[in-house]
Amino acid sequence: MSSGSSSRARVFRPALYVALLVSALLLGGCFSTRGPRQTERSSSVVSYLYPDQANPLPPTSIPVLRLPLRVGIAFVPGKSDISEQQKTVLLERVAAEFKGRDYIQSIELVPSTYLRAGGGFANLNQVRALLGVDVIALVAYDQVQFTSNNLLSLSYWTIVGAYIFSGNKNDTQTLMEAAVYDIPSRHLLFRAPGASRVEAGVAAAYVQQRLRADSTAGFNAATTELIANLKLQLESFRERVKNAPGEVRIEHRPGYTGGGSFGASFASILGLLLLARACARHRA
Amino acid sequence: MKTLTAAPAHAQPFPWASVCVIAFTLGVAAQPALAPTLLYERLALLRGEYWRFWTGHFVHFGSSHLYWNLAIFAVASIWSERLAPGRTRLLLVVAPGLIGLALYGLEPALATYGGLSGVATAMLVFLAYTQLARLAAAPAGTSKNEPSAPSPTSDRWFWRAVLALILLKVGAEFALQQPFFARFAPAGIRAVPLAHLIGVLVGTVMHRNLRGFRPRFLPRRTG
Repeated sequence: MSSGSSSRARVFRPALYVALLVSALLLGGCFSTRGPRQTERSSSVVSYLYPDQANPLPPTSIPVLRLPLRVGIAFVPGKSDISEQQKTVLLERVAAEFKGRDYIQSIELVPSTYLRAGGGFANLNQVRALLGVDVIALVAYDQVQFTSNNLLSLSYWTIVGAYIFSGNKNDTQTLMEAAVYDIPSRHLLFRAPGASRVEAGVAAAYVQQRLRADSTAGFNAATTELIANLKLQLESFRERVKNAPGEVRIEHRPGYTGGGSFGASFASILGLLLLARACARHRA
Repeated sequence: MKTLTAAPAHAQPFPWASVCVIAFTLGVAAQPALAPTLLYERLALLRGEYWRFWTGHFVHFGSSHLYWNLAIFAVASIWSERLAPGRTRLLLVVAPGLIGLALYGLEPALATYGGLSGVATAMLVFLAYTQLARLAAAPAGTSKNEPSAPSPTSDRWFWRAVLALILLKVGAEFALQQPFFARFAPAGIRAVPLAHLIGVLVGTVMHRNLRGFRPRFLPRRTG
């Protein structure tokens, strides 16, 4: 009897080890054995504006900008899991850059529901008619997230290690671009890019959570760079308009508000002249 | 019969017209409810509210807009009125209306306009020309004996510089299509260089063509 039970134990012991090993492999595999992974979210201005055209024709008419401009800002529709709320926050930051300029009358944040994938200029003309905008800033993005393992991922075999050790490395690369179009003439007026890279180490159990946070951080950092470039491009565009008037025609919209104004600089120069005059009189 | 005696050269009249205009401008700023009735509005002018040709200049679009315009206007207008009271008072009556009419005729896209700078420009140009004329007429070397008299050697450059500065401002505003030496606090308000240009012309014409003008209510100088 006893010899029978001991022989059964001898038979089952290797089986037990094998079962434990397989379970550990499977559980550990849940966390780490899939190798580098990649997530991508993107939208493209070209695919939106020229969906079925391999060689789009360049616009022929000269853009006529009627000041003050009514500007729309929208995210280009694309493969995206960015929330509407996140898009609004980013667009508001970009819109703030346009505000406070005397040649801009109003800025409309165009909701995603107004744009359809591959809508092209026909869709933009609808937006123009609905919201009364003449110029639109189309914000496109391309964000790629990589997750790979490092040496610490070996600790995932212990299961507990998957919660403690940062055996995963997340790499989030974001590229954003604002392309400003004059809708009636279909002209690209100017464009401004912004890029960012966010790297972070994270434990396997929190990879998804961290990827979402990195995605938001990546968009925020890219938007900051985009805004800085937008400022430069706006100034450069103004110079271009001044130096090459044939490139863009500027008109003033009927019904604008105007004012005559002196400023602190003029008063200061005048004050300095008065001071110099007083000194000259005193010396004489 | 009452005999009018000549006032001493250094006894300059009190600039009551300038003070009235400054007080009115400050009053309008203190009572924003008045602005819609006084502002230059093309549609309202078409309805026959012609007072807006004059009163629009006294409405401003913010404290910075008001203070700098008023600072330049106050200095130029009070100084001018003490030197040439009759013509300055006439200019104060005529310039706002002429600038308003010119804007109406030459800038049809302008729906709303406010600000004293057109009138201040007219006043500054008038003052500069008046001073240059005085310098040209004054005998050299009178400044030391008579403090109120102009000093030809030291002052001519100053008034020429003032004129040059104004012309530079107006030219730059036309070229750049934005306020030069100035910024508007509220967005969406454009500079109207035409108002300044008309101010320059009105100031020049007032000096050149009405040099001998003296209203009846002012005592005549003798000798």
